[in-house]
Amino acid sequence: MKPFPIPTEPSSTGGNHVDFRHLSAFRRVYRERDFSKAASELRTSRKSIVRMIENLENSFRCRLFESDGYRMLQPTPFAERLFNDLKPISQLQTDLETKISTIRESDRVLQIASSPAVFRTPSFCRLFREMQSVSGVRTSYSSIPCEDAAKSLISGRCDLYVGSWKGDPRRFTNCSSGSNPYHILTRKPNNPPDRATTLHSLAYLVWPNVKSPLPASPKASDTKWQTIEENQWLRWMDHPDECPEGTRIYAPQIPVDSTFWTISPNSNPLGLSQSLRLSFLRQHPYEFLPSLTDSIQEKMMVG
Amino acid sequence: MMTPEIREIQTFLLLAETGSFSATAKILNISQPAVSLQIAKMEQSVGFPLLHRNPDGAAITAQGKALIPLMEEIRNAHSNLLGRAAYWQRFQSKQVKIWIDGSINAYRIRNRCDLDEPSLTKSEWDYLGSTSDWIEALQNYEVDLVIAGSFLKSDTLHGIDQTILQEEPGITIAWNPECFSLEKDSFDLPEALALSVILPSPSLCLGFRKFLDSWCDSTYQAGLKNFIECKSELDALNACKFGLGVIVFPGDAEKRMGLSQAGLTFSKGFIAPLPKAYAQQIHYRSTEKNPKIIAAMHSLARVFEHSK
Repeated sequence: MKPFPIPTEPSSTGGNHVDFRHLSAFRRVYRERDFSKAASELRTSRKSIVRMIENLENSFRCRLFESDGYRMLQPTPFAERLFNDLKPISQLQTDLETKISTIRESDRVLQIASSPAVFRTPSFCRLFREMQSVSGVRTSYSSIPCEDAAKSLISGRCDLYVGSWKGDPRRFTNCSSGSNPYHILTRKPNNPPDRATTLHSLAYLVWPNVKSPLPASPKASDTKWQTIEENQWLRWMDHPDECPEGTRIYAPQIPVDSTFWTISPNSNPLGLSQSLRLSFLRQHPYEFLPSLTDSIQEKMMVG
Repeated sequence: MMTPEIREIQTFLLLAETGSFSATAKILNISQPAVSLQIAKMEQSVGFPLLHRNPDGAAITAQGKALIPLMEEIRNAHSNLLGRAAYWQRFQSKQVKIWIDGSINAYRIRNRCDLDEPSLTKSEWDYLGSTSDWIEALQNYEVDLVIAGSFLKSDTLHGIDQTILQEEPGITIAWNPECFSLEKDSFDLPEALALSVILPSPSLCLGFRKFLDSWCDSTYQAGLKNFIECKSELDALNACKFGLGVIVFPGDAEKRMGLSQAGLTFSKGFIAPLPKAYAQQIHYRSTEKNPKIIAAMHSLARVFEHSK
């Protein structure tokens, strides 16, 4: 007597060539009873139809069509049964397609993100409104600092990032949608003024560490600007009492409270500006993103 | 927009179930980049993201989750289709697919068929899996006949009928006297059950483990603690001979498994209250119309009678 083998899992069935495209080809050939006609209906070559039918026949180990000598194909009994049996799965596929279309029409959301600094600028406000009207898709906003921009675009936390950020731009499609110029603000003296009214002459430049060093200043005797982070600048905008009187801040233009700040006349000596670059993943599933950013770019450049 | 292919659906569902690209790649036996590529292709064709790509794994988006129920239906329909197609193919080529469990009787039938029934040797023989999935496989036309044992006509098997080969009463407990000092005549069942116990797996006897668990629970308010499940009766026999534990098997295991010849001491229980406890049966689909399959079933029963 042969030795007892150890029971193992039963061998799996074949069928590695029973893809939906093979089954579609089969259904079409069954209806048309002709390979060439099926090929033209499915917009493919006769050769690929024949190959797909052969693959199915090998997977099922059964012939599907026999030639009756008059160029018309005759389905075998197996093919008849298979054709009937495909109806429920074909219905399920149609249902899935409908569901996908529904989600495409009404369930897609465009997540736009930017740093808090960019968010406050009037240019961004205009940009966001334009995107809402042009895209036709629900838009939503989240605040993401520029050092997290690349990570958020890759993970899908946001679809479109506004504003420049440091990092390898190659995975992304980038286009400019204009820029927001800088101006110089001066912290007004308090009313009544403090006892020691020696005005501080500190001068700060808001410069996030994303770009190359500052552009060279044209004049010889120029103010020595000290860089500060965007967070610090925004904090002073929101809490002016924390900012010493007389401090000058060279920052992107955002609405300021004139009670506390004056805007200097020669307000942008170095010609600085904050970029409103638009970035999104190259192979993003939202097929409308490239044309959307193109039309936004046009609109923003004009205005 | 093309509807997703079956492979893409399988990959996506697997990713949703495991939550990891590497696990999915391993199960599908493809590379991890291949998994990513399939998902990316699918996202392009449906037009919205299906995954959030985080460093510690993948999370399915809300839109992706909305597609999962329909995709699962499609995946099941596809595999059922393959099962039925295989069945029709066997129908046409007059083949019968038979699965047997790890019982000595089943193995004896298989060996006898080589001598007595040449027509059956052309069938496809295979062993049951390690779980009791053979019920689903039989319902889905992946297999035509299954020889398996069951205890106490457990859970109704929907759409499946049985031909009974043999019925045996009660249960049998056996041990190696050199390893365990249990008394044969004044046998104490709780004492035996507290030791390491050798049981048949669900594929070897459906419903036996469940019976024992609930009986121990209601009688002793305690479950079985140390047990070894065996997929084949020979494994169980060897385990017992080597002193790994006490055999607790359904029916008249003494005669069926040759316990005395193996040098084991045994005791029987539940003979009166459970006269037809263990049944070894050939399972088939109630709606079976293929004459070849019915004929094969009768041949198997005949071979079993002759082998006794």
